[in-house]
Amino acid sequence: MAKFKKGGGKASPAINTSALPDIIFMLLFFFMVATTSKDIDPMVKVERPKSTETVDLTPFKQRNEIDFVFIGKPLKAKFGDQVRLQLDGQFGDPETIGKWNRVKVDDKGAQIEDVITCLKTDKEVGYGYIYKVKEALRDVKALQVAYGAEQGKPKY
Amino acid sequence: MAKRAIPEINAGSMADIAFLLLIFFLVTTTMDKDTGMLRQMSVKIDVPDNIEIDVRKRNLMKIRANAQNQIMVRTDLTEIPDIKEKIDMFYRANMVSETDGEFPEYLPVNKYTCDTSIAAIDKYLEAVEDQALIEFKMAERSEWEKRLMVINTLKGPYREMHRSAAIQIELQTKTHYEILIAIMNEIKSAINDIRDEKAKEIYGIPYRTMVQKRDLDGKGTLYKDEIALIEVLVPERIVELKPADLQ
Repeated sequence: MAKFKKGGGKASPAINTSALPDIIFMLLFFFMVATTSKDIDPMVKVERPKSTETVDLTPFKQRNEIDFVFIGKPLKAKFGDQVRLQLDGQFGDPETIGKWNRVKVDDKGAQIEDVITCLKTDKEVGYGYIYKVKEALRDVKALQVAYGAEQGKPKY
Repeated sequence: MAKRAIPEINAGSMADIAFLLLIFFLVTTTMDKDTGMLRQMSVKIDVPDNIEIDVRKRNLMKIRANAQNQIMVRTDLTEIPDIKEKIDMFYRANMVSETDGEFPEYLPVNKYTCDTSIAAIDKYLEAVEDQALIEFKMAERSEWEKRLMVINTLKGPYREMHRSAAIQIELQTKTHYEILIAIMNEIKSAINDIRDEKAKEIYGIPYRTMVQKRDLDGKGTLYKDEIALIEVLVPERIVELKPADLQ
């Protein structure tokens, strides 16, 4: 009959963790490559509609040729429930976007014709508001606009 | 001297450092890509009254949507997925030969028409001083130059959709943005399909691929001429009208 050892057994050997940093570094590099830095914290709710015909705006972003504008209802109730524009970290209106756009373009030292303004709009915003924003941009000759949309099959 | 063994450096906290970095990146970055639909708006100019604009019904594709998300294409109530087919018809009906009087006509463009048109504009420009009018005419002139370029590349005349043919989108102030995107999606996918076909015919590479490669190119000069040519052959003229109920 086999004998079983009783009590005072060997301590289990320590697991070799020398490869752990490598694993974590791998994860780190994956995230560094697969994500983009978020530079603006949204102050308005933006749920993007889907479309199959979108263009990836990352190359324009890397070349600093694009400005982002958010359009939607404020996330915090104290700012009201009317649709607002978010220009960087501030609330704005169609009346102020022209000036903001000019300042942004001048800061970059770019030509206004080369700069795209991306309107990241919530899907429930009415077209009237978007039209007003677009007209304001047209007035300052910022003619290139991108309608923000997510890549995917549209709901309809 | 006796050779001493170099003591091993304790790398146990390496993982902690890596974790710290990892968490930093997780917090400061976002996963979703910025994607969107590019639109080129037209320059605001006062069109002088004496310039005649020929807009016939056959050359217009009017898409309307109301706040209840009902969509009308020309005179028919339409569901969104059916718009694509209608746009396709709008472009292709008379593309090869004149067959349908309901859709835009295609006119032959040759070197002679381009040259005479440019000459006529140049002559007209000499006499005018109104800045708005000059800008308007200069835009027209560059259109003709593009056509000339197409003729030179294709080494012969081509058929072009009527110059006033356009797709108009008319929405109401309360129509959701989502509907605009859905309509735009249908229009773009119809046009891009036709452009893909043309580009494959001429260059053996789809239009969408060329655009993608151009955008990734740092200087933005890759396929520039090819894309310009396809865009002249299959023009995208989408006009967003002012909502009728906007104050």
